Amino acid sequence: MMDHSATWFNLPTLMVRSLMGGLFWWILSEGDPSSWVIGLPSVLICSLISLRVYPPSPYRINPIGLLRFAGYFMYASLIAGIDIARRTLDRRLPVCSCMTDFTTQLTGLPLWLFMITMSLLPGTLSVRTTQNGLKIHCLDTPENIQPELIRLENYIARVFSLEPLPH
Amino acid sequence: MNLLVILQSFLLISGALMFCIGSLGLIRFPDTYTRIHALTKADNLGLGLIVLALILNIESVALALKLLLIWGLVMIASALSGHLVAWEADEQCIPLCQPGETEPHLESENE
Repeated sequence: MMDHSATWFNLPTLMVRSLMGGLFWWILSEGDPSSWVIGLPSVLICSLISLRVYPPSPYRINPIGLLRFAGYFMYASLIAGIDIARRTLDRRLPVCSCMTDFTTQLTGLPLWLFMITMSLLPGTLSVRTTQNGLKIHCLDTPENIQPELIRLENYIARVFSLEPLPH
Repeated sequence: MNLLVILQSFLLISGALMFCIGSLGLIRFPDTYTRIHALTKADNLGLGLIVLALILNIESVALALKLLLIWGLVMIASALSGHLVAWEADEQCIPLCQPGETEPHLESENE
């Protein structure tokens, strides 16, 4: 039993998750000090349960990479909104509904982030994972969106301190 | 009227307009997949603009972060649900459809 508990209990991860949980609680309670009577135990219990359910992840988050990704994401989602508005309001409805495949070597959490953000970026929507990548629905010709996806993939690789991915 | 109020009104109105455009896209676009595009992207930007407008005259940091957190969580939820609808549509082999065409699976139901 002791051996088993030693495999999932990891103090640094527990501290990071408790800090994140504490920040989350502080935001939710809008900084009300009296709410910590409930907040503190809740945060600790949740962190312990999360450690049990979701083991420490092997990825190292790169803060600079994360900031650059956030900046790119803000800019690209603005473009995505304007792009979709332009297509919707155009009388000729310039959309081309097609599927394309994208090979990627991302797995796990980075792949998840890739799929989520791609769906909010101009003209792409993740449909499903395939054997060596993703099936993507696009609003434009696949040749136009491929370079955009490679750029997004590189931003995500930098967030998780991964090596630049070959294509 | 000061500059802040003008900027806030501009952001709020454009945010609301983005939501309207998203709903218009839902009606105008030709198939399930393109409709998801319209909804997720337009709503994400619409909510972003509204959150930005509200943050401009908030004094409390926690409240501003709370609004940003709401935006982030809604973004994840809309992207995930969009992905799930696309996944299920693909699973059911719902065909792609270009503008001007009628969706074939709906046509057969009407007969």
